[in-house]
Amino acid sequence: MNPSWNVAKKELYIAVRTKRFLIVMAIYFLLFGFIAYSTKSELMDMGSARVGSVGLWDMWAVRGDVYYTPFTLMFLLNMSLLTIVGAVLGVSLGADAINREVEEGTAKVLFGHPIYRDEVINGKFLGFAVLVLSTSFLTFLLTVGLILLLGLPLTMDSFIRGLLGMLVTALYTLVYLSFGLFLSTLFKKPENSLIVGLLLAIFVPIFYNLIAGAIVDKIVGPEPYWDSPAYNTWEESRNAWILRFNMLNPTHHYVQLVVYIFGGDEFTNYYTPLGDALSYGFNNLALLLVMLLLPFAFSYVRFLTRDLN
Amino acid sequence: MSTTAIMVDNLIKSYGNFRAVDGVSFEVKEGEVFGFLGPNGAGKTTTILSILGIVVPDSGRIEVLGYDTAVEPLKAKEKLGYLPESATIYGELTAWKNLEFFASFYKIPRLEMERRITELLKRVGLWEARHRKAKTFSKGMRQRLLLAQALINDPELLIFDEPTSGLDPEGAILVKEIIREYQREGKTVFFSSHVLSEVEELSDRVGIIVRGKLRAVGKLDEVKRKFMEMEGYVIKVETDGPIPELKLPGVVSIERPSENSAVVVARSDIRAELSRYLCSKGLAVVSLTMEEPSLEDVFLKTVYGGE
Repeated sequence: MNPSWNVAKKELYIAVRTKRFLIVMAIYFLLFGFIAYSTKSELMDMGSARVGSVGLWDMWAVRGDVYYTPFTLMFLLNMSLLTIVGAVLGVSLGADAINREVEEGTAKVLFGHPIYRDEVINGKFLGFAVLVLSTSFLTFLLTVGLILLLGLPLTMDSFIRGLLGMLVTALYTLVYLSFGLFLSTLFKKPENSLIVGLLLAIFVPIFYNLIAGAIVDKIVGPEPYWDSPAYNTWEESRNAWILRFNMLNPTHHYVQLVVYIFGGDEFTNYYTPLGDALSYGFNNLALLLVMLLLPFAFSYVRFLTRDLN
Repeated sequence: MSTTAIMVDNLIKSYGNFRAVDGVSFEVKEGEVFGFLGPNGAGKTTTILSILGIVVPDSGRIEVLGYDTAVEPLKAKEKLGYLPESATIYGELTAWKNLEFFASFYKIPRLEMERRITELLKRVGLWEARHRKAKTFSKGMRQRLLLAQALINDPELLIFDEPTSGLDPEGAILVKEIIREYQREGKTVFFSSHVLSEVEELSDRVGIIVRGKLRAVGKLDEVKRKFMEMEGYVIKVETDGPIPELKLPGVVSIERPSENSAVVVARSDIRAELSRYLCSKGLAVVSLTMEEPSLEDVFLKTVYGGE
């Protein structure tokens, strides 16, 4: 069997048994349960589906109209939770994957056997990726399960969009996994890379835009009177700056993509055709892929060229 | 097939400004037990890790079982077993799972693999603990499991880094037994140690590394003879009467513990000349012995008296 796959199986076997993973999942289930409980009546009373705008600009600089069904609402709520849980899960899986092996000496044992370094890093990523995909699928099933349990309608179109949303969630988590992996090749001490990674995984989804907003306010100057002609120019400039800042924010791209996937058309009062939705979100998808591949490439280079003692 | 199991040529490795290995060259012949001796920090582990490609040498060439490790790093690893010093095994995996994982890198059929794991776990005394997670093991048990993983591919060449450190006496005996067994089977063992008695007991040849440089290499008696040539031959003589002044060529120094005895340090083995000289003086030689240096003497002198 391919050595990478052997490493992947081992990583998967170990990762699902770690306290870290179990704690993250337990927190997720608790929060999901809380959200489900507190929105149950809102979901039941939604009535017919409608197109409406999402109020996610301040938090993640995301705009757009979505086609609100009970499933869409539940998916978006779950997504809000996963912006943090996914980031924490990704980082916590990857942030000590390499340096802990070096520190504990298992790397020395491993490389006494016929395996290349790239096979090890690929195997680790593959193992964690399988776990991330499984977890994302589980969160998707939870959403679907809740809708069905409440006896609410779920169309095939919504289900497919949910599946796509799940894949985007997995991609978002993999971005953080890749970043965590990079940190584990950057820092010698696993504790340091883990702390830095977790701080970033919490900071970026929650505080990034607050800080970006404050900086942008300094750049664009004070807000003019809202009814004045200068206001529109000021607002356009501010929004452009916010979006520029969010080019580097994976949470922005993730949420924007999900919003496009569940996008709604006011005229048809239905979902935007999937092809259109994906073309709108192409840039976000491309940037998420770059954010996934770039840290992984850096990790690759560092791991392949460093001494492992 | 090459008759050289390991060939290290002018190996240099630095960490920052610190040169850990400085132009080390040696060969380990197939079928021999080679003891790599040196104090802590001498460069033993760096040399071993370079051989395995775990650290990347600055320069030099390494061949293992006829394969250039820079060109074909995995070919040799398929045929060697490595026991690292101060390493751990995957704590979240059981002893069985650990061995299964390492065995998965070799083309071993499933049944054969299970048979080998069973045999090894019994051999290292971990059969009863095979389903326990390795993190619950004592240090000695972990070291035994490490030993088992080194043997999982039935290697032709064993590379052991300080194999008995951290082991209980029973475990240390087991390691020595395995080394001897491999020796009997004509396989090659390269092991590092700072335990002199262990090296003296097990090795066919030794290499002594000090501060990154190889100070001595060869068969034990060759190393000792070389040492004696450098440091002088120590001859103890005892006669039936007072020993006169010894005016013989090659004598470096003389010590007189008593009237009838002397300890002569000479540049060569002058026992015959000494005996003839004393007889010519009318003395009967009661005893005449040459003191062979122990490996400890050689080691201490090489390490602490070298520069």
